[in-house]
Amino acid sequence: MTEPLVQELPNHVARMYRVALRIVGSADAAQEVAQEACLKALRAAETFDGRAGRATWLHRITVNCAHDYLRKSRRAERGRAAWDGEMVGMLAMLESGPAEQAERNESYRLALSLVTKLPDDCRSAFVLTQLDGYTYDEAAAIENLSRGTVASRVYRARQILVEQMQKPRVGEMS
Amino acid sequence: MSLSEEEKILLSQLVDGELPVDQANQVLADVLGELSHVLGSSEAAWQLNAMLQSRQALAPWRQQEPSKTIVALPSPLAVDRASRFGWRLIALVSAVLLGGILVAGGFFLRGQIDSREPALAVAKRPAVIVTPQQRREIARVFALHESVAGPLSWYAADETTIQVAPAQQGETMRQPIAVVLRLTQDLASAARRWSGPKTYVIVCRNGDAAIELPSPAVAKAMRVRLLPTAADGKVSVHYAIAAGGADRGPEEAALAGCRRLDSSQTPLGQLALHDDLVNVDASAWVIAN
Repeated sequence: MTEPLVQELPNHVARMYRVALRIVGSADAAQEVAQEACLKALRAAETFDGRAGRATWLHRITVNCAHDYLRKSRRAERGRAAWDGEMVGMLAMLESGPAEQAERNESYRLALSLVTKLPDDCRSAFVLTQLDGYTYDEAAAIENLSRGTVASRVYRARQILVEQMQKPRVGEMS
Repeated sequence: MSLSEEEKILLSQLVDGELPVDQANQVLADVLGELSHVLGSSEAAWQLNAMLQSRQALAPWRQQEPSKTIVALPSPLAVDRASRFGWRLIALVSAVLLGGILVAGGFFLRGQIDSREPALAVAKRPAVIVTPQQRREIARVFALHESVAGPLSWYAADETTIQVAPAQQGETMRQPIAVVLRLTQDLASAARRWSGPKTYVIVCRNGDAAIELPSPAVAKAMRVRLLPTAADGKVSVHYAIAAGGADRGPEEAALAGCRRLDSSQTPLGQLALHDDLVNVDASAWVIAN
C-alpha cells in the first residue's frame, strides 16, 4: 500500500510545500514541514482508508505538521489569533523586510495582501485553488463542500480581487 | 500581425487543453491584447482580461516549489521507539503464551514478528520525493548529454526513463537526489554497443558542481560513485567505479580518480571531450538494491 503513495507523493509535494509556506512563512521551515508531512504520510500509509481523497488526506497532514511546527517554534504568538491559522505565514512574508519586498512584484504583493482580506467563506476556497493549486474537486473535498459551491466562492473572491485591484492606490490618487 | 510557428503551436495546444493553466492564460491575455482595438468596450473582454490579470498576479506563489529534494528519512529516535514498541508487544505476547502453550506460542510469536516487519521496514527506509518540476530538471541535465558527441549520447533522458530511489542513509543527509535510469529494451536497442537493459545510478545535487561520469568503456557495470566537494571556487570530484561488482556498496568501491575543476570557467563540452569523460551537473552514488 505504501509503494503507490511513494510514487504518488511527487505529484503532491509542491502543493504540500505551498500549503506549508502559507502557514509557516519561511522557505526553510516550509521545506522542513513538507519533509515531515511526507514522512508522516508514508508512515501512516496503511491507515489511509480511501474515504477521503489522497489530496485531502495529505492536505490535512501538511496543515497539522505546519501547526505543530508553529507551536514548537512559538511563532504563532504574534497576535494573529484572529486569523484562521492558515494565513499566518503569508502575512509574515508580506510583512518581511523592505529589501525582500522590493524584490517582489508590486501587483503580486497587492494581490497577496488582498487575498488575506477576503471574506472568510470565499477566502478559503480561493486560497486552496489559486495559491495552493488544488483543483475545484479537491478543494471541495477538503472543505467538504460541493464543487458548485467552490466554483461560486472562487468567482466571488475573484470579483472582489478584481474590483480592489482596479481601485487606484492611495499613493496614486493625487 | 503574422504568427510564428511556435505561436501557432501554442494556440494549437491551447485549443486542445494541453497547456498548463497559467501558460494558457498568458496566451489568452496576449490574444486579448492584440484584439483590444477591435473589442473596444466589450464587457466580456474586459471581465476576461481582469480575471486573467488577477490570476496572473498570484502566479509567483503558485510557482513556489521546495528548493531541495524532500527526503523522508525517519529519525533514529522514531525508529527506535517503533522498535521498542514492537519488542514490548512481542514480550507481552510471549509472556501470555508461555502459560501453557509454549510450542504453539512460539509459532504464534514468529507470526507476530513477521507481520510487523513490513511496517518497520517502511519506517526505516528513506524515501526521496522529487517534484515533477525537479524531475524535468534532471531530465534536462541528461538531455544536455545528447548534444555532446560522447559515449552518453544515447541516454535519451526524459521523465519516463528516470526513476528515483533513495541514496544511502549517511548520504541522504546531504540532500542528494538518487536517479536511477533504467534503460528499456527499446532504448537499449538504440545503443548499438549495449544489449539488454542496464541500470545507472546517478544522484543529482543542488548547486553548480560539474561532475564527471566515466565512459561506459571504462566501467561496464556502470555503478559509479562521485563525490563533489567545492572550495575556493573549485570543485574536487572524487569518483569511484564499482566495475563488475554491481552489488557492492560505496565503501567497497575503489577510488578511481580525482580531478579538480574550475566549474565557472571550463565549458562542460570541453571537459566532455577531454579524456573521454562526460560531465554533468550531477553526482552519483552507489545505491543498494
